Amino acid sequence: MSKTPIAGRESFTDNPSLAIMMDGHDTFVSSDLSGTDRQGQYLMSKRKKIAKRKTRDVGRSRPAGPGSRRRIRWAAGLGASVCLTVAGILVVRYVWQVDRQQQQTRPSQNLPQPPTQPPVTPEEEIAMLKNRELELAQQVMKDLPGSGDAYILTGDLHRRLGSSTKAVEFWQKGLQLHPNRADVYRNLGIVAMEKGDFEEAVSFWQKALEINPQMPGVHAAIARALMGLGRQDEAIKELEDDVRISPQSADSYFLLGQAFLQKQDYARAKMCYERAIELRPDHPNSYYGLSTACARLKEPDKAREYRAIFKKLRTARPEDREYGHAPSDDLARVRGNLADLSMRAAGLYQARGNTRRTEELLKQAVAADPNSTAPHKRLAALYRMTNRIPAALAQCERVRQLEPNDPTCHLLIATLALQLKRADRAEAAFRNFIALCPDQSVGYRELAHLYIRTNTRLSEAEKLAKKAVELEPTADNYFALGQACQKVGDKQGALAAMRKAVELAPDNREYKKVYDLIRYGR
Amino acid sequence: MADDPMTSRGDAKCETYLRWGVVLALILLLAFSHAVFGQIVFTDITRETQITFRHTDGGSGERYIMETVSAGLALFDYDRDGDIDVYFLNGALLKGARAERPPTNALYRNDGNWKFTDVTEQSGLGDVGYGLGVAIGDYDNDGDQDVYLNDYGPNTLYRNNGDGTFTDVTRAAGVDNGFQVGAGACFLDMDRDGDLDLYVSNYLKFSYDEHVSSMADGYRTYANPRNYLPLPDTLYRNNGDGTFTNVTEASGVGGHAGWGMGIVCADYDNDGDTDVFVGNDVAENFLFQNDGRGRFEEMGLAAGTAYKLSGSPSASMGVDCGDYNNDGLLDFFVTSYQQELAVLYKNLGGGVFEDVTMTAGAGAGTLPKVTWGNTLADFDNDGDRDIFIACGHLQDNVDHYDDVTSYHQRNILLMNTGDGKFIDVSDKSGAGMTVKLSSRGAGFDDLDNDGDIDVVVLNSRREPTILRNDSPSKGHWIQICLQGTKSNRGGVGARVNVVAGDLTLIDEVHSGRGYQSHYGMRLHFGLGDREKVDRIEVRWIGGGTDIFENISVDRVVVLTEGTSTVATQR
Repeated sequence: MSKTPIAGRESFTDNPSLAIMMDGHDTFVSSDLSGTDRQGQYLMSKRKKIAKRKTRDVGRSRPAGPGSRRRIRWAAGLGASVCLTVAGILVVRYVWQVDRQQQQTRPSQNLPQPPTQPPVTPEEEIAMLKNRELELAQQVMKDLPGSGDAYILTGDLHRRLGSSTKAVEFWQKGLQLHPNRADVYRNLGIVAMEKGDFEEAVSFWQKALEINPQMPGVHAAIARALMGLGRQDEAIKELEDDVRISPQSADSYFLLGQAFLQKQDYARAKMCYERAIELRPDHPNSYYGLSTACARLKEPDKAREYRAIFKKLRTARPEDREYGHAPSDDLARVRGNLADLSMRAAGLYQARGNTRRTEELLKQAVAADPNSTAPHKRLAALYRMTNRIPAALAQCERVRQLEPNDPTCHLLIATLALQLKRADRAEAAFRNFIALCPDQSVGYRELAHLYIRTNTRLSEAEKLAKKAVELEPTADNYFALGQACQKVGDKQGALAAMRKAVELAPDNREYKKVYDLIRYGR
Repeated sequence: MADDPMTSRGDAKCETYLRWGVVLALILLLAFSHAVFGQIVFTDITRETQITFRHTDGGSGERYIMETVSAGLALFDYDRDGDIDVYFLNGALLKGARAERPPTNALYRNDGNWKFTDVTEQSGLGDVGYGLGVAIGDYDNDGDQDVYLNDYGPNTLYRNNGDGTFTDVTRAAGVDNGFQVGAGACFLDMDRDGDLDLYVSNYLKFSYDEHVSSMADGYRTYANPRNYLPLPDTLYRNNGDGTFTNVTEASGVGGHAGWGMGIVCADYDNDGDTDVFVGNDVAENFLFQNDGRGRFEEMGLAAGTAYKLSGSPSASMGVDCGDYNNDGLLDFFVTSYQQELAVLYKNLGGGVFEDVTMTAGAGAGTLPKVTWGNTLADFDNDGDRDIFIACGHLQDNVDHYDDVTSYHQRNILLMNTGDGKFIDVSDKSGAGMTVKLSSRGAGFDDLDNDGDIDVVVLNSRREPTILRNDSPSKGHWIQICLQGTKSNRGGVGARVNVVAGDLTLIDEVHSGRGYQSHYGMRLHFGLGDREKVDRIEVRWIGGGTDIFENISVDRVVVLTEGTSTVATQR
């Protein structure tokens, strides 16, 4: 087994949970195969390619005579000329293609263009960025007529820009097309609540719950509004329903405590606050409620004790020490907003298969907020999906610069580098990952695989695989250890590890095959 | 069995009676509900009054924080003619601002019949400082009302000369309070020695060099007060000779720094001395409990007035007190910022309060607004106290970035339903409640001496709003002026208990209250259908208790300490 394939190479980047961790976007989830099944398929295909190459090598092994050497030289010269010509043509064609691609990715005429005069003050720049947001929303509405999502996106934008009245109009239009958008009902409720219309807020939130009974925070919001209306009994019922659904919700117990306080049911208020504190021990306001309940229950010592804790926790809250923000922060926030909107819009185009527009918008997001990693991650995902690996790697490298402590980024860089056969870059990336996540086995295992594949630092590969097994005794890790042991000539060790891998994953045919190969010395 | 025709006829008759009974019951219910809830009507008569005052915040566009909190006003009888006069505070030109004439405070003499004359110049009260808060009290016990101004910059004490003019006696009195951003102020007799001491609320530490420029969504905004250091308030003890001594540290007040705003002094624990409630912006409120000798202990957290029910602080603005549920205990009502409810703290007795805002409906309508001047007063003379709230945002450009709210806002009127609850009647209370400006301080008193409470509102950067109470209520009333002899002359801090049949009402004389304002030294009690007052009990601060019996209603009476005779004010 001189050409051992890299088992599990694809397993981490295509792992759905990991993909979602990277940018929260579904496009990262490119396959529904499990990592182990893919390993098996990969091993098989690699083995077939190796066998073919061996056959070709056998055919070329015949020695050449002196007469034929001249012919060979002529042929070689001719071949070289042809190759150079072809290479020249290919280079010209490549340059032409790249130029064409760049032309395609340039913003189209109907896209919002930056103004010719650069803005002078932060206010001017913010106004310009907001205009671009509005123009973008208009463009989305124009490009995607009849799209409920476009209405909702536009509504969300108006809400953020402080035009709640317009937001409500767009949301209502969106709901006509997508009547099951619980999130929109939730937002309508928030606006109604802020306007002080508690009844209407309750009505919207109840609709949201009809669509999504598990929607987080909505029961509590309804309870708050009901309390504002003086309907404490109904608020209690709402919150009791909520804690049945989410027994770990400290917020709901806290609000329940408030409702019972107002009902002057101090004993039950106390119980609720105690439960809230159990669930969230650092929540100062629960201690405040608890101290109030204890005071009413004639437990002055406890009331005093809880007041002291409340005061201590309250003083420690940073929001009580710092307030307000500087103009430059505001500008950064608005830039971030434009980037977010561009990414959301990109998602709408991507869902409709418009890759070009998706890419444009993601680039626009990058331009708006160059220091945000999210647009780079989305672009990386898009480039991977469209098999533009160098571009994907470049985006990941940018993410790494911005967030050097993001471990998933290092893993993705390693994967992409391997696809580009850049073992040195992959190695560095794996090492970075290990440094950041020393307790996760994946980094050790994949680096071991890299050494095994490149036939370098084999004893190091064995150590890494052992570490991976030590951290997580999974089939994948035992498999890596087995291969490493075999590489360093430790057949017993290899057999033991492979046996363990097969035991842990008895359905994995590839493990079984490799195990048999080692066991029977084939 | 066949139907008995007699029975059938009887059933039909019965049904007819039942129908008529239901109709009658409905009519009675409607009439009853009208009687119970009454109706409050306010008419905007600003133009008729010939008051031409226009507030300025002195801004130059730099958005200095004190612009947002200017200013309060005072309603008091400066010339002792029996009419309540109006004194408006004004801003002054801040750095970079220009004007042809510097803005001044303005005093309007009430000539009766809703006519007012500008007497600013002849009175000497045309102060040019940056006005924020005001308190009125007879600090020298000479029988007329003096004026203390809490400004941005040095404060000023004006002594009333008794002839309609005032003299600046700040330096002699020693009460200029340095160079602070001020807020509310109150006179109180903290040590029960018969003269009025002075509590001065300080907002925050500011200098032009420390000015913070802030933004919200690309719009320049006024900075949050938390960008500036909070300060302890200042307490002056009256030496009884026209001078004061700063006792901030010795009194225990100096150990508590906050972003002080509106304040009110009241005997919340009913132990015969005057305590102090300080509403703090963006932080916990202070409740200073007096030990009777002018030493204070801060009790806000233990008493339950520091925070809201949730345990979070309010951005407190105005503070007033009154017994909203007629249980003989003074409750506190505090206004606050947008997306917060104004808070009603119900006094449970024993020095403990409970936030009953939501169960009482006392925060109705306040959530999208910034709320300032406030009171608990009986506007419809039905024997319980209603709530008036002056509203207006402090960010003058908020309409551009948040249309849930607005810079100009309508004021709020909550009617007490008599069962400890309030309903929002702002939309049903006349054209006076439709005025939409950015209000700050508000004062409440009977400006036309017709037995109901009128309203004066100071609006930032605009003319004031004068609301005449035109409520159709026929409820009886009594108004009481106190005159101390051993205790302070104005009766500040005295507790008055009025018993009329089944109704028992309490109040105290406050000097400085609401949002950095002063009003209501002439105590007003609505009596509903009670045609006489059986008994009035006055507990004087530092003095004894006097009892007055069998008093006829619908008049202003003067009760003098140490006597039992009731005089009618002309």
